[in-house]
Amino acid sequence: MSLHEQVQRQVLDRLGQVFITARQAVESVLAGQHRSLRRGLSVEFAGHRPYQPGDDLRRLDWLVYARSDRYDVRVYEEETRLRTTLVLDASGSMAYGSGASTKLEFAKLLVAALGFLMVRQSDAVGLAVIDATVRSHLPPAGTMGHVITLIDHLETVEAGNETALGPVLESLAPALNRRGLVILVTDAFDDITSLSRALRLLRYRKQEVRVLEIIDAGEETFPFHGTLEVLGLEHERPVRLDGDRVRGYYQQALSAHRHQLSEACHGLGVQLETIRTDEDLALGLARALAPRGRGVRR
Amino acid sequence: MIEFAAPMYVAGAAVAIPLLLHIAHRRRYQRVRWGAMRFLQRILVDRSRRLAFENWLLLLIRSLVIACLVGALMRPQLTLRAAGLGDLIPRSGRTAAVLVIDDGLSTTSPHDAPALTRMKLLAHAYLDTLRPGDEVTILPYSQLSQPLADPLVDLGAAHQAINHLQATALAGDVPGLLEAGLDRFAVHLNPEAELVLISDGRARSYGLDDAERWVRLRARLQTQDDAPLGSRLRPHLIILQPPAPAQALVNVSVDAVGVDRSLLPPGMPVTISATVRLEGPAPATGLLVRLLIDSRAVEERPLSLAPGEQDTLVFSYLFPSPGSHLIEVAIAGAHDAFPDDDHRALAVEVESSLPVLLVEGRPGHGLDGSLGLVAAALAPDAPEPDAVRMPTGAAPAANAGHDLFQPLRCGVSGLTDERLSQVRVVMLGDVPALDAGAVSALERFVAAGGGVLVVAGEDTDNDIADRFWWRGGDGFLPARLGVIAESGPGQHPRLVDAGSSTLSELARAGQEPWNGVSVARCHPLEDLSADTRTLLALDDGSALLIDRLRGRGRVALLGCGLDGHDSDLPFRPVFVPLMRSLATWLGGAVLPSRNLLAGDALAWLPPAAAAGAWPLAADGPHGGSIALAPSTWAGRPALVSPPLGEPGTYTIHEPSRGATVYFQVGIDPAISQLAALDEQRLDVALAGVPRHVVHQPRHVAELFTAAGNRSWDLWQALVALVGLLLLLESLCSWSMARARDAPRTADGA
Repeated sequence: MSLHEQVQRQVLDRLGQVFITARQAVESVLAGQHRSLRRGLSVEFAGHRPYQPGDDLRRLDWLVYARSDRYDVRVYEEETRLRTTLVLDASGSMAYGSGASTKLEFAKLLVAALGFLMVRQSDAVGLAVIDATVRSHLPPAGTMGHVITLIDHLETVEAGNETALGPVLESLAPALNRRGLVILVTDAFDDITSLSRALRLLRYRKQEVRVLEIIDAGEETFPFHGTLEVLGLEHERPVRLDGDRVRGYYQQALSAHRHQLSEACHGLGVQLETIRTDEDLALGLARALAPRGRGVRR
Repeated sequence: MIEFAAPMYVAGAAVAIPLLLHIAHRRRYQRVRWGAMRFLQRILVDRSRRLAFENWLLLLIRSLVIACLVGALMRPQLTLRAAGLGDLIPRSGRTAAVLVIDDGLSTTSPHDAPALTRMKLLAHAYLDTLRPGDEVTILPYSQLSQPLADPLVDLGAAHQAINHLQATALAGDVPGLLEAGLDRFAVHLNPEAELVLISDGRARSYGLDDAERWVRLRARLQTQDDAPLGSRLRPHLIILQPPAPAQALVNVSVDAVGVDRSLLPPGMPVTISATVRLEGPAPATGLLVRLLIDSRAVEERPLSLAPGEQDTLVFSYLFPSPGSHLIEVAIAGAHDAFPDDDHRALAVEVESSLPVLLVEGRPGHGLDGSLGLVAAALAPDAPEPDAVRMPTGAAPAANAGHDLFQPLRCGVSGLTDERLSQVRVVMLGDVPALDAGAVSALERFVAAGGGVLVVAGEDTDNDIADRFWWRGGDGFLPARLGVIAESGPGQHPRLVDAGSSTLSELARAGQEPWNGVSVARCHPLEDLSADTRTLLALDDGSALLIDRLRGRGRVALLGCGLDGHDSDLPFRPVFVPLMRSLATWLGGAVLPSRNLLAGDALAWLPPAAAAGAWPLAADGPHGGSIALAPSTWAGRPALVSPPLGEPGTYTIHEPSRGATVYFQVGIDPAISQLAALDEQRLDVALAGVPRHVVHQPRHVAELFTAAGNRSWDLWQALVALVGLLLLLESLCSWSMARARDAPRTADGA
């Protein structure tokens, strides 16, 4: 089954109401910014759309109401065309999977679904695949053909080298020269300090950042027993240890790392969502798109 | 002091097992691929010392568990010995006791209070000093040759084994018992060893006259001086024996019964002698010595003996018919300490004639031939000497002649196994050579008990004789045969050694009968071995007639011919008694023997005519039946019984002739020597060997004392320690796991 078909089956056919909510959530997130932008910038009148509860009443077009008794609001191209950059972590660690799919396969599915959603709500979406470097960068565009191109590119992505999120995101930041949304899909197995620095830089460049932390259920429990020779996926030196003996320590370290990530994101105003690979993709996506504090219940 | 009841080699497992398990476990790694390596690497950096400590701690605890388990199996004992125990035997740990018991026939004496009963009381008293966990071996003398069972740890079973002891017909052997007892400790495990000799205290059983044997035994008991006294290499020696009677026992015994000749012909009076001995301080009066022939009393004699006196009674009896007969001498009215030796029997074979095979190198008729004169000397009354010339394949006829000897003449070709099976004596007369088959047949004949006289005349080839009959001393010929040569003038034979009692008749006649005999020429007899006996020698000292035992039989060698050419001996009066004596002496033994000792097996050679109708059992004393199994004796088909332990008369009924064959199992005359052991002589025999001697059961327990000694079995403590260590290991593992348990993640997942 191709990525297209997976996305269609697992996400688009099932989202329905979730999609609408997600669209609203996106718009509401950016509502404040767009207002400030409109004051100072010339924007192109894009047309009317029906009034929906929650719209700013000052945007009602009273002339249309006078002529047609319809409540329509004026929309401008700049405020509705959200530029989203999906950053996919394709480092070696993303190749791990204890269940039906690896983290990378799950992340690719997630990214593809996000791409579809963004374009369907008339937003522009781009893709950056990173590991220790920026392996590829497709600038945002708002056409379905672009999404297909993006998905085709995702099909070819394989897990690569070591993780270097911080430096790579910092190198990617200059390419994001227009306000928008950056959604980082990663397992975040990297130095939190350097990642925090990169996130801060993106925020400084007026990017809305969301981090979707992808984690495998096995990575939370460390399901191995007995004497192990552990081979890393990013060319680390093998280590020998007793699985039962180190499990507790590992879980402690993982918990501390994730806590540090959460603290860093919270301090930077970055929304962090954790999605497990054994979780329903659609529900996970809905949570990922929900505004802060108003997540969709699973 | 901590002692171990089990061998120390087990301790190696305590060290090796956990290490081997640890190494084996570490060699098996499960390979896995993992994405979150940074966290594992952080653990190894941050927690390496703690992980190493936990590893070593668990290894130590597990090693201690195995060491304690192994240590518990080794049954250690902590002993604090009390001081000042003196000569007593200290017992602080588990004891390995070997009881060697003389169950010989002498233990049935005295008749009114058998020593065996008191020996059992002593044995029980000793067993009562043992404790649960001690090991016991009960080793009667009669069972030394049997496969032995494992040591007993059930003291009740040991007491029962003592109760079931019965006296046997064997003569005791204390040195043999002690040696067997020392060997027995090799299968015991307990650390403290005690060798307990339980005997009736008879001097004969100790065999102190065999000084060399006691020297070897003492050396064995002392060679392990560096081993502590009371260890399995050097056990405590305890001698338990009833006290010597206040007065020496009075015992009358029939020590020997004999006849005056090897061959017993029917119709001729036979002199039967019986030696009766009185041991003890009191005289024996009013005794009645009874002679029985085939269980039928034929004569009685009164007898009185002074203390220590020995008397030989002589009876005369004429056996009316040939066959197997039983001569018994019994003493009635003795009322002595040991009734079993008041009776003795002798099984004899009365033969109408003794077949003698005369193999002539130069066959002849009548007085001619190599052994014609010998045949005439053996059977002078034979009407037709040629009539008894044995045709090939024919069996010798019973009573073919009227004389005791039945000479059967044949040539060299007539020397076959079949013919040899029918005779007991063979004489080779001037035989130049024998083929290999004949030599082998002769060898087998002699080994089975037959007698051979080799007469070396002028036709005897000394080279062939040396090469094939003497073979450097390994052949049947008792000496190397030199080239026949002139003896020199005036060489007369003279009797040197009478040999058996049969030839002693010639010795009583003195030298005079030989003075008229001259030997003109003879073969020198050379390279006589040490076991060769010279019966006749010439005046110059050279041997003329010699003999040597070989197997069960004997071979005699005469250096000159008996056809009158080499010597005038055949024409002298002494020739006839010489030949008849030689024939009797060579063929007088009836084999297999019918007079056995306790422990011997009965063997009987059934006649060939009885094949297919062999009896399957012999009748034992008191009506018992003894199974007979087809087997072989000296290479011949025979019926053999199992070892016979009960003294008495055994009979085989021969259906083919309707005859009864008697066998008798007697007791060793030495058993009748009931004199008590001279303990001073025992002190000399066991000089330097610590030992304890106890005579009364109530004094046995006083040999040992554990009072003042305190000992603790540590195995229980070790087992408890194992439990504690396992609990500690569990606590450590739980604590380590708890310390490693990850707290709930911050996002609530």
